[in-house]
Amino acid sequence: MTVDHADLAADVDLVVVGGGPAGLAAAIEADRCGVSTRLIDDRPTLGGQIFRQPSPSLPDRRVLTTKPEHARGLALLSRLRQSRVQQVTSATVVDISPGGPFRIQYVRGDRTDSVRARQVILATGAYDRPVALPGWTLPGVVAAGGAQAMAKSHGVLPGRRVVLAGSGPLLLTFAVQLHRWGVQVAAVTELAGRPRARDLAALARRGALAPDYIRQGLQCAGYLAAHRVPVHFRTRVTRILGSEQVTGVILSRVDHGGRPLVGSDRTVQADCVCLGYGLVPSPELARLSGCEMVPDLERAMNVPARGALLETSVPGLFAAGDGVAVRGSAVALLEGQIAGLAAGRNLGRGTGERFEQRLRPLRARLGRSLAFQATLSAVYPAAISGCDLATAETVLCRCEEVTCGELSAAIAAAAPLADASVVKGMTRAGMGLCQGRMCAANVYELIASATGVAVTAVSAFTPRPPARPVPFGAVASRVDYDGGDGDIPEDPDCIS
Amino acid sequence: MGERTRVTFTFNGASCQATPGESLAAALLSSGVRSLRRSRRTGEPRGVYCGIGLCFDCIVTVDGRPNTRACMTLAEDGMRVESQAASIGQQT
Repeated sequence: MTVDHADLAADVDLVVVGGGPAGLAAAIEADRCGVSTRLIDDRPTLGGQIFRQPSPSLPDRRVLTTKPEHARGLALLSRLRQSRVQQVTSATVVDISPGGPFRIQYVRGDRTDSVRARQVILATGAYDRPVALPGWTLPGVVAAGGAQAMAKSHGVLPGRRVVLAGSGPLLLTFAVQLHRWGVQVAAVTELAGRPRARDLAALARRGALAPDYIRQGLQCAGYLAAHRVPVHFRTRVTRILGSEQVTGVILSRVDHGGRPLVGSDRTVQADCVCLGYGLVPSPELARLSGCEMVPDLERAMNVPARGALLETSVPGLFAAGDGVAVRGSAVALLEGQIAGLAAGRNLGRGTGERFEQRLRPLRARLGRSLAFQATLSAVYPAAISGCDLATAETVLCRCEEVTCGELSAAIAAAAPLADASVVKGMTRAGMGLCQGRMCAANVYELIASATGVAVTAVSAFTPRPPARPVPFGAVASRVDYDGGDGDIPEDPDCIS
Repeated sequence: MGERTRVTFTFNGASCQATPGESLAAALLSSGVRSLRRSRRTGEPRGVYCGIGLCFDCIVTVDGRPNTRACMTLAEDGMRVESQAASIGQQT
């Protein structure tokens, strides 16, 4: 039997997926408008990656904080605690069925729950761009964001002698953090060239709009120079060495296209490599919900199309923050607020002049933040190849252990009909537990270069629920093949 | 905040300590454990890669439940954590 969602009452006005800056801001803003809101996050604690707080039982001597984010996160989380927002943590949203109302399914431990909501805001955040290079599956190779997360939450450092490899302004910040926390930073390699004077001048002009950012950047560069941490521009880690775990890396100077220069290799000993090639959005739930996707040419990927109020093509569904386009927490906070406000207006809360009055300053601040981000992206290239350093033996799909060579052979065999689904069927790439998050972009890139089309024109892996792996028991715990039943089991422990 | 009690769990039979609220990945890393399992196809060592619950490289068997992400699971007293037989994690 098919249940018409329109016949069902909603459990809440709004569900916000993701408890980082955008999701927190959206939930707080919606609550302020009088919207009943449920905030669902994958992690045991809210704050996302940037506002991660130390685990409450972490001894003081092991607390490794980064001050400005820590304080901003604390302030937001305390506002959330004072709100009426229902908070569900350690819960993974696996499906969203559009309709009136939406039906959002999430898995928490061994059980699946669902909630019906009239509006949904996706604030799913971003993750480190997977850059496949020889040795990148060795223990001791960690994504920079993950290393930062473990340090902030648990006071655990990723290694004793660390090489940071990647690109972007966060790389230097992270190098300073690691050094302050007592890690020996053996080298920092930045793909981009040393920022030119005119880029710095442009940033400084924009910097009036984001003085903290500029000051922080200069302080980081100064700190690293003072502590003699080697920072190599236009240099990459081209190979990670070791058999059981990381023992070192090969550094190479690279040209403007990121290609290693012959004869510029040298070896650096290290027990850990942090890969920080910038962040990529997680738009899987938007795709799964049927949002129209558009190419983001700068980042060479498809993201949900959004209107001025961050509404997607699916009525009542919004997408905010780094989950759509990585612009950092300042932009994410503003986008979250705007989406929360707009969802409230759709629900008849905070309309007319009150809406406009609240929206106007947010829009103005968002415009300034975006202008600053645009200037920043002139210094650091956003679209970076994720597999140009891979050799034929390099694993691209970490879950199913499919190598670059195997993928290239499959693509050549299937050409000109090679698309992601065909290649997935031939090689199993993208079929593993991560559901393609670690390999999809690189598989698309290989297909694009072999077939001569733009990466964003490669037909992608087909999104299917569940959006994340679900234990079989959790599926069996809730048999509702017909799309819904009236009785939503509620776990009182999981809602605070 | 002062030091609280520790929790003790086992990894492949060896006793490991963690602070309450610490993820298995963090606790194992601070005990010097880097390699959490062997990959199915080539038997390569694997450890924590993304650290935020997305890559599933840090999967372990916790109290008999396979495919549990060490980075997303908080250590609890008495937990039995094991490197899973590679084939279990890969069945689809």
